[in-house]
Amino acid sequence: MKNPKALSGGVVFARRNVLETMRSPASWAFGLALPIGIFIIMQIIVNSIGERAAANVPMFGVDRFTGGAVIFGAAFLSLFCAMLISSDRAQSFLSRLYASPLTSVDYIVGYMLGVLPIAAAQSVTIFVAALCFGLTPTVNILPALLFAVLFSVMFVSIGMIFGSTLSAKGAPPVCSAVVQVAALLSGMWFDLDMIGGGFAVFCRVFPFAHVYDIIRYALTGDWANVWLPFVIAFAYTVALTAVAVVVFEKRAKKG
Amino acid sequence: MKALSVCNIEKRYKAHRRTVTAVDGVSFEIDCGEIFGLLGMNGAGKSTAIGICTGLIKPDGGSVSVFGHDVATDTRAAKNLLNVSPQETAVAPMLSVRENLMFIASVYGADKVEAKERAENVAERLGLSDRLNDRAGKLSGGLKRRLSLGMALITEPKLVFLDEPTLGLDVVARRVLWQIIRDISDNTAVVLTTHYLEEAEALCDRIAVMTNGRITAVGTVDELKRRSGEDNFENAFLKLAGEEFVL
Repeated sequence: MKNPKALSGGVVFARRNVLETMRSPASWAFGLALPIGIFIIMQIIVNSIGERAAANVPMFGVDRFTGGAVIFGAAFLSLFCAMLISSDRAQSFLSRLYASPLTSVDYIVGYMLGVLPIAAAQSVTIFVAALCFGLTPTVNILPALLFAVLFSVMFVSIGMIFGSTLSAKGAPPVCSAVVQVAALLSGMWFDLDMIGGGFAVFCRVFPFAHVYDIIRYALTGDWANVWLPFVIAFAYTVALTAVAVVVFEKRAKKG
Repeated sequence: MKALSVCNIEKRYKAHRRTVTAVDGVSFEIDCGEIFGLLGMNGAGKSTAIGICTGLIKPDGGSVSVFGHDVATDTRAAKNLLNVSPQETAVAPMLSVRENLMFIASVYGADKVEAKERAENVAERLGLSDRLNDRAGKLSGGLKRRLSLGMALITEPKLVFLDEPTLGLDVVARRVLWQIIRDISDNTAVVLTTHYLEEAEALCDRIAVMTNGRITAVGTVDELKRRSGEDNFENAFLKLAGEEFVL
């Protein structure tokens, strides 16, 4: 049946995953409306408390909170991916596909590409909202946007790990916890440099604060401060993706 | 050439620090155009055996070939010839009936035009033409089963595994699916698992009875009745499965 005009299995599977995710009201509510809503509310609050008061909460300024909103939104990708995989497993949809000629690479590519369009839409919308609230329109927005999409792969991988190992009922609450932990440890709600000490060190053990820093510094063109968090966040992304692939394949072999 | 040759397959699992043998030296062959029933109590090893035959589960021993292609070593060629309708309906709920059908056709290598044409043909065959644009998740249980069967048939498989295809359906929906299964068996070998013995009796050319991971009897319904010395197929099955509840 193979036709030269046919798309590769991974692309076909990704298309299905995009449709499945985009048509779920939860994707729009949590993936787009919630992070944008929080971003807008925080900006309205910051704009209404006056410049002097706003100076005391610099992390809520548009140049910094944009990165926080991006992380908060991207963290939901882990939830979408986990829900998709765990429900595909629960409904035997994956069993049907395991009997097809799709390969392991097709599954991984399919789940990754299937969620990334939401990541792109999410990041673009947040940056547009940030521009509306006074983010300086510079060329730096473009690399910041690319970093946001690149590091959303990390959250998709976390979702793959939990979606492959937990049940359809177990995966969503665990990934909801991931969203909260990622937001808390990223430094979007409090300035890690100001807090300092053991807690700041603890937060920087995880990748979320580094992704936040990358976007924050990229937006201001402070490239000297981008490379170290980039290396750490990139290493985390590669490692988590590798773990996701191994876990998914192991689960697939169990049937 | 045999549609399916299963030779001495074995599968063991570790459970609670002990080894459980799910499939223990199972062998059988199926001809083209045959409907072959695989019957057994819950936990007899049917689903594991089907998982091994479809390449989903790696066996600890033995081999399976589909039209001469070894499932373990010539996996892609074997998988291109078979398809599965799992016990659960296994449809993508947010996709329409047409999109579900086209998705499976595309997974097996059809381009968009071909997939669309096949989807429409299969939908017509299964009485789903007027539901092509409906979301799969909104369909009734019977229509979901038909769609699930359609997703197994859209690739025109030479061998199809139907795992309890009429589970939970009313009598009319069940009879509709029986006719569809009879029709597809003209060109396709069918492996059917079911707990409805009247279904196996009505549809299957031959039946294998599985008990504790082994096949204890294979034959036509009449042969199995003769071998067990029972006139009633349900009693024959219970006797061959080693159960004590024969009335």
